[in-house]
Amino acid sequence: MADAVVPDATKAKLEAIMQTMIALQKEASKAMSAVMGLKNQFLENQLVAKELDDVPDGTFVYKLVGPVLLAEELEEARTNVRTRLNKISEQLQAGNNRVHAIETEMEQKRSSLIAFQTELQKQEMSQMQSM
Amino acid sequence: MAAAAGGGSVPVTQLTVEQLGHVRQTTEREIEMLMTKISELNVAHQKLTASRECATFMGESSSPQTVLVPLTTSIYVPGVIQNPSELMVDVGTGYFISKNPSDAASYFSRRMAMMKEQLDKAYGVLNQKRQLFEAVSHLLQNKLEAAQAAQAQAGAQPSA
Repeated sequence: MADAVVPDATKAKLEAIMQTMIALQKEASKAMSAVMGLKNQFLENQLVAKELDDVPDGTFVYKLVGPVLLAEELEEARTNVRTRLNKISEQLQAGNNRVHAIETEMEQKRSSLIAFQTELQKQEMSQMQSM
Repeated sequence: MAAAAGGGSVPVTQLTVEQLGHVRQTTEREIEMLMTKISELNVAHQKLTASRECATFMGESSSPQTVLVPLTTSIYVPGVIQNPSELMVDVGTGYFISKNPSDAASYFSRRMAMMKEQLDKAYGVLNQKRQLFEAVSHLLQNKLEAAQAAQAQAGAQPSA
């Protein structure tokens, strides 16, 4: 019933806010699934790192590269996995920051939407009273 | 949403019918997700069990073993395992570590214990969620019945 009263310009503005909210929501879920994937990677690499640490020196270690197993020095394998873990944790940090940033932006948009709606209601009320 | 399902601050009895329905729906979805996760964990556990059995079997036979090596799913060639005491174990992310059979078996046992731990945790959460689901469903039913009874009474009164 409010649709009849609300002018097109206001409607467009509401629409625009809604659109940005939906876009933000999509971005948020994308960022969150990226973080989840990174977390899984981190856990798997952690397991591998522990396995490599627990094995006695001089053990043969191989890395699957495409269809072949390449021999790798145990020490080299250990440092490689460590660097990978560090990289992943950096990415994880960045991902978490991104999720937080999107969430705060969504919060801002939501409060601005509510402010806009209360403003609209006030206008409607004053219109009704003046009539 | 998850906080609402957990029933942290607001007691479940004070929720409206819509809120209850919402909680019921999210809980149902969570239960489904947990069930999928549990079946995945069970499959992984079974695979680890098979690997451990294989490692133990290899440890029991020290002499060269003849096997059929699959080239495709329907073509096999005879082969000989020259050294059954050295196994290559896939430890994840493309790394293979050479282990003797007993070390390999203990590696798989450790992984199985981890799986078991996760499974137990998942079952615990599943039970909690099921209880919540039951409680919420029950409450919702009661509320709906009460609302219907009130409506029937209100409808009956003017005619009486």
